[in-house]
Amino acid sequence: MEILLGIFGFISDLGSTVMVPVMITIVGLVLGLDFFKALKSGMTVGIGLIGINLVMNLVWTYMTPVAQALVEVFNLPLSYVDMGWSYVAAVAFSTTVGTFVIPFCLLINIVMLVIKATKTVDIDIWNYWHCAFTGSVVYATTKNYAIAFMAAGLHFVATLIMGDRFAKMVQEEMDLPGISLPHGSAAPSLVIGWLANKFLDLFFKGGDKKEEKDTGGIAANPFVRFITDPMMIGLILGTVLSLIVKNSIAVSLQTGMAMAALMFLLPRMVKVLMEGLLPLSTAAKKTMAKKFSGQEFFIGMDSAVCLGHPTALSTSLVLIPLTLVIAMILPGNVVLPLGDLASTAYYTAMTTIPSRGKFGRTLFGACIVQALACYAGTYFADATTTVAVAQGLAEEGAKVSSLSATWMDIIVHFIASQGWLGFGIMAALVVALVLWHRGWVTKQPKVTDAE
Amino acid sequence: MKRVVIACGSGIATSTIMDDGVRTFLDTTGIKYTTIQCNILELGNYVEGADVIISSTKLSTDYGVPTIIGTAYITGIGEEELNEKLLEVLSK
Repeated sequence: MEILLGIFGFISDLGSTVMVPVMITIVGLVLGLDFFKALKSGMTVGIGLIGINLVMNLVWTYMTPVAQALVEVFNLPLSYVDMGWSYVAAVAFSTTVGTFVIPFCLLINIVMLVIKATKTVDIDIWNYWHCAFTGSVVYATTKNYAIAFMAAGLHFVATLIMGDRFAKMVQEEMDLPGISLPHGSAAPSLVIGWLANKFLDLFFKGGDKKEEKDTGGIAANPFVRFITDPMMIGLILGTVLSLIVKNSIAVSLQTGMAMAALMFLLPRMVKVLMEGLLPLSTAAKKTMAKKFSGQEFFIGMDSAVCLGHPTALSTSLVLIPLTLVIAMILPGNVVLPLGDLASTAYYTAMTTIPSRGKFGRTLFGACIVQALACYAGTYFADATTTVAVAQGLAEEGAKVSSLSATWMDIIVHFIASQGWLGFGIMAALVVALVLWHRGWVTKQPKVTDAE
Repeated sequence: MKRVVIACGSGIATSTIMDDGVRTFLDTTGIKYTTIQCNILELGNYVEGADVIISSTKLSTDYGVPTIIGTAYITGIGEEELNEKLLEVLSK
């Protein structure tokens, strides 16, 4: 154990741009890639991290002063800039815990499939970043690898179970047979959407039949499409916020352009990182598909497969300005929405499903999800910034967070911060969840038996 | 030169896997092509001159361009049928 910790310590002292390529290379070799492919994978991920770092300069040069001025001039405590899920995913994968999360979660998935504790084969390797995030912030808080991995594991087990339980609803509403969504942000949002609908059922009996299904009218409007383009969001928000804090027109336009550049370039840099992970994802997919195929399994996928739903699209556009309003009026929120304004469709797609495509219900659920996302961003603001700075992905003094964390991350992190007691509670929760869900899995009809 | 537009939720993650699938297949066919990744909301800005759209999800808007659901590149299930469909569309 001591030697292992020593090795971990040495590698993480190398800094993320060297450490991550080394780790990804090792993980690639473990997954059966040849050395050159594994090394190229690792280096591509490292290059993505360097690219992200370059783009992030824009934030502390232009946006951090604006966010601070908002605090001073208007007493609006939105001092942490929301960098969006792609940035947080990169930060999460760049930590020691984060890099090992991929083989760790794969292993958990295989074990759970073998003991019949899940029906989901989660091939959506990239979204293991949600578990990487939980593990990374828990490590930042506890400085303990065992507790951090236990937290990442609990998160993963819970996500798989939620994926299974909501699979039927997702398959029916989105017409996606054989799919489940064991996705760190999608699954918890589905739960909220479902609860929001239960709540609305108390007031509108019979599921308000009068409400028509949305046909995607707003999404088809060219002007709406134009102003919700990520680069336009950046330009408008950057310029307006800068003007509000009484900067000159020249400075405000510069800030607007810088934010447009950020919204445009950051996802492209993250894409480089994703390309590096692609061979790992393909290798993992092959292994999983060989072992677990056939109709009794669900294929776990990214919620991107649901975004085409017309209600999801039109509510996502309405949700962009609403998110800003929510962030401003929500007591205690410290996160200034920016990056994740480009990903509102991920949230609305999830509340569309339990709302069965009804516009009002979908939007109501999505607003609650966003409010919770603001609080999750607030809760994790310090931890996210600490990890980002430690990984060299944010400069000392910058304040970054996101709207991509969920209520589930908060619960797991809260338990984990209790130290070894938390470790025990998490272990007990994993066992309890597995036993409880295993009962459900074994009761499901097997398609292969019926044939 | 055939123009393949590949769309998912962000233009970052899922579309990168589909892009890899498209490239791996098209390289074996000798068809000359370029691919571009985008998110579904931006599709309108990229469809001009496109020969095919590969999407992660069913689209609610008809862009007048043949559209194929590309999830088989992610799951690996039905990948051959998807390749055939793509070849058929691009050979027209």
